[in-house]
Amino acid sequence: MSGHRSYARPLEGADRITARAEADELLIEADKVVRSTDPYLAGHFPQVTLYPAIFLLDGIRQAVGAELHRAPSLAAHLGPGSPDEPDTREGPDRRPDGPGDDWLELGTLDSARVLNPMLEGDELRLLIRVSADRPGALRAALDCRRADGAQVAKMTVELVRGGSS
Amino acid sequence: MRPGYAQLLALLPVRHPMVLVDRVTDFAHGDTIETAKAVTGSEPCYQDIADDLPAERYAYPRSMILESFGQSAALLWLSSQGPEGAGDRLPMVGRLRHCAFTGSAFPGDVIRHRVTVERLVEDNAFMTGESRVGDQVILTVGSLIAVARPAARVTGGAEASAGDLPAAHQR
Repeated sequence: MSGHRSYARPLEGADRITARAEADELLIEADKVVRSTDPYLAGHFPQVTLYPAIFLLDGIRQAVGAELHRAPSLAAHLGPGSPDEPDTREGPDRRPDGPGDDWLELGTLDSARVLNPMLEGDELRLLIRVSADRPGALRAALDCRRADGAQVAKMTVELVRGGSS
Repeated sequence: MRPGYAQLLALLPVRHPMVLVDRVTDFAHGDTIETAKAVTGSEPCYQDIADDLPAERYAYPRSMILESFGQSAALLWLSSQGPEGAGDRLPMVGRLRHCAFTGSAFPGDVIRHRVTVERLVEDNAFMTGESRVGDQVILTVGSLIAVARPAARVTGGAEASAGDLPAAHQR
């Protein structure tokens, strides 16, 4: 039975995403609630659920891939995807990629730092600022906060199109 | 250290399906560790993948490669500690810098990590390394700083055993 995902991912890195293009940037707000029932979290850890900060990295590429269509200049800066994408067919034959589901990969990780734990039930807000980087790459800066306003992580990564490296 | 899986589990606090190291293939106390991680299509990250996608779409998530590297780093640090171990402190990755992905891994591949300690300073370990599939380097980690923090401080008082990985927490 066919699934709906167009690339592998450890879990859904966001429950809800909003975004807007502003000047030369794409500004994304992605919300994620930490749930022990999410894939992998039963093992991290058995006694207490701690959201792995590494999953924030995946959340960045997922959220940017989902919202990139709102910033055509940034999408163009990344260059075309692989020949098989996007699929513009309509209806049940349409593959689950295409606009709104760009497949991005981590290129480089400039820095990642986690400042506070992310526990079961915590409501995380990922604020992601995306801009053009070297040709074929975007830079995404993450400021992740809990609902109480506490900053839990900050990261800066370079994103490239999947399959390009 | 013995390279068996049971010994690996005895050191790492993570459990299935979050154990992302399968074997320690080489170890030099306080210096270097080499580990292997076999990628399989039965892992949860491949759940709900659509049919008829090109082969490249089955690339193992790079975040998981980094997590696997971090678990290897944790094994190196934990295995290099004295008999008192980490005590009630959680060794975890506090910071990552200058990491570069230069390739991908796919189901059937074996990722081989090599982690080297650059220096140990009290509750901090500075490590570096790379990950390969075959002869191809797919990840270079410029700097991984592991830190030890009181367990209660990290978990908000909830019970946890020693150790954590790139799920880094640093105040």
